[in-house]
Amino acid sequence: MNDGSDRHDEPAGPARVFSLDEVETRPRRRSKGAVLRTVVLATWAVFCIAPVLWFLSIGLRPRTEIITPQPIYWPTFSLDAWHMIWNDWPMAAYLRNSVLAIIGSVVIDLVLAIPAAYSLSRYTYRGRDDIGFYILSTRMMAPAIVAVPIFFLFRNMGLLDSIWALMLVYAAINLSLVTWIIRSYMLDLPREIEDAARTDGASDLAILMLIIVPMCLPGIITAAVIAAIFAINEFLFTLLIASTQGAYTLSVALANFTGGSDGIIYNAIALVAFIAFVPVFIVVVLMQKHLSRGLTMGAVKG
Amino acid sequence: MDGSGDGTLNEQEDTGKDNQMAAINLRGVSREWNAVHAVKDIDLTIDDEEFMVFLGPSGCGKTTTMRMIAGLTELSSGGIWIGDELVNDVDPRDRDVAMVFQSYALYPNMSVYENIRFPLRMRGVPKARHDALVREAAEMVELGEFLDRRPGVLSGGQRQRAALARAIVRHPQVFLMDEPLSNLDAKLRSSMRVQLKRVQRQLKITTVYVTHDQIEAMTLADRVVIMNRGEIQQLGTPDEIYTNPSNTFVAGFIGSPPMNLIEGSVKDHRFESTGVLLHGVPLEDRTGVTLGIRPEDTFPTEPAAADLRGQLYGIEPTGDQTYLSIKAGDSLVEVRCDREFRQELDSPIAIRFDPGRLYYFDTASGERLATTSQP
Repeated sequence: MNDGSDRHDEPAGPARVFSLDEVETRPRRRSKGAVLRTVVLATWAVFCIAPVLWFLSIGLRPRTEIITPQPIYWPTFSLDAWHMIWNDWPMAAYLRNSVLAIIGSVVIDLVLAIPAAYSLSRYTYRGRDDIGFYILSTRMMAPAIVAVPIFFLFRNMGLLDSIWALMLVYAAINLSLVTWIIRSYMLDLPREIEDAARTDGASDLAILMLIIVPMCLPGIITAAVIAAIFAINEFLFTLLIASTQGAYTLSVALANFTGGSDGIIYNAIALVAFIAFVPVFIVVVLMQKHLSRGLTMGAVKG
Repeated sequence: MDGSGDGTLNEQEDTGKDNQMAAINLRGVSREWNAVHAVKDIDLTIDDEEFMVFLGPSGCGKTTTMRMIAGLTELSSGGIWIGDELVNDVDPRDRDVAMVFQSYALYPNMSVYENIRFPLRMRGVPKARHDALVREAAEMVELGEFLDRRPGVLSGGQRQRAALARAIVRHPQVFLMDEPLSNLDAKLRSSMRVQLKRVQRQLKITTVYVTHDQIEAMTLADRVVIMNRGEIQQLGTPDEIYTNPSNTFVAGFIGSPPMNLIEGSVKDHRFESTGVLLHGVPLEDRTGVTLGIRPEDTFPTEPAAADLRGQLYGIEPTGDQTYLSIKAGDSLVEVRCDREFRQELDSPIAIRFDPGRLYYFDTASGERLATTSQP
């Protein structure tokens, strides 16, 4: 699908004809460019991956090799931290809480944001732009400002220390951004396709579900991935709401390794952080092909 | 395949009879945006099974008028009837119209087959009939082999035919086509034109077709509406529009190259302008007269018999004929003559007008002047 769509963007029809000179010079020019591109991208990739690998190496070395005057580049391999986090700490619960809270919050976000974005991008009504800006403005405020009210709100609802509360909070934090991303994506969709669907007999709901959502899929996935990343990194509200392993997530659990009689357990912190990073990484890799825009091409004149 | 195809054809003829009298009536239809009149007080009747073309320059209101018939744009005032039903407040999906868009507007996430089937799904046509109807519509536009492709991999002409198949699949009361051919190259356009007209004749569906291309208008239309600045300039058959233009806008818009319009005055039944002296003009004395003459109704002639004298400004052989531009005073007059005609540039030239093909307009209003029968 992905590799196909790029090629299909070229106007279909008779194959393009190259003159002989072009045929001869093209591969050479391309290979030179390809070498340069590979070098640049490889350098950038090493630059990005190195800290992650360094992190992993900290997680997989004994505690004694962490705090040393000189960095140890080839440490002894040790699963101490691994055994510790799984045996001495409720890692499974943390992981489960994180995953459930994130999935739940992203689902809530999408259910609310897709119709909202459609409304903001398509209908004209009084105050539409103000509502749009208001939604975005909720992100401009420092979260700490609402921390205390939120705590009382959830206490009064009896939702403290529950995954449901985390879902709601994460969804609320990300809703504006998700709505905004999907809205800007919808604004780019050609109107004529909706006009066509309307004259074909589709209701507003059918247009949204059968035409708009599939065409916006890359935008929706982008928004969902960003929301998931924000959610997995969320700390402040989780700390307020969660008080036991019933609701602790990975990001808050990390903090547990910094106090207590054992001091700061750097290798455990590194390993947990790495575990928190892996699912996001997998999701991004899987969704990569949808994070491009190719899908709408060819709908309206090519 | 053959057998089922025949079956559905008959069924569709039945439904076609149910949709009798899909005439479209527009009465006092206007549309304005913030005091800008896109469409001004249009009265028009489009007959059942008629192929009506809206022709005009961009921004003349033709697309707006069509969108109002489709229900995609609301009327500011007036009323539109499809058949006997006033449809002003009827949702587009409840009007039995199908529209073909300039951009094709295919659904990119669906195959061609699903694109064509979409209107059937939306309008609750029994599922059992979908396949036969889709295949029949695709056959009609010769798209059968592309049914499982996505629109993105089709060429412009194939996309346009897919859009057409999607419109014809449910045999609507009315076809609306908004410049459907303008994104195609010239050769494809002329073959699609022929196909389009055949399909419309076969299905006998009332059709409104918007274009700025006069060739499309002349070749496709039963009747043409020429619009400018939101108003109807003239309504008539292509022949009437061509041979009997009601004002200078229509005269100058139709024909390629368009009609020559020469400003002058009439005295003692003689029309005078720079380089032009024409006898036997059937008008009373007046100033501000515009003479209209089509390039094909002019001939090079002897200086003594000339109606127009000027210099040869340009000469364009096109193969089957030669076009001349003749400078008389400040104005250029286009003349069509034989393909062998050759003459030095800037040399004097004399032209005679066909006396039976002369048109007179009021210069100020642009309206055609009534001529007295006796010169």
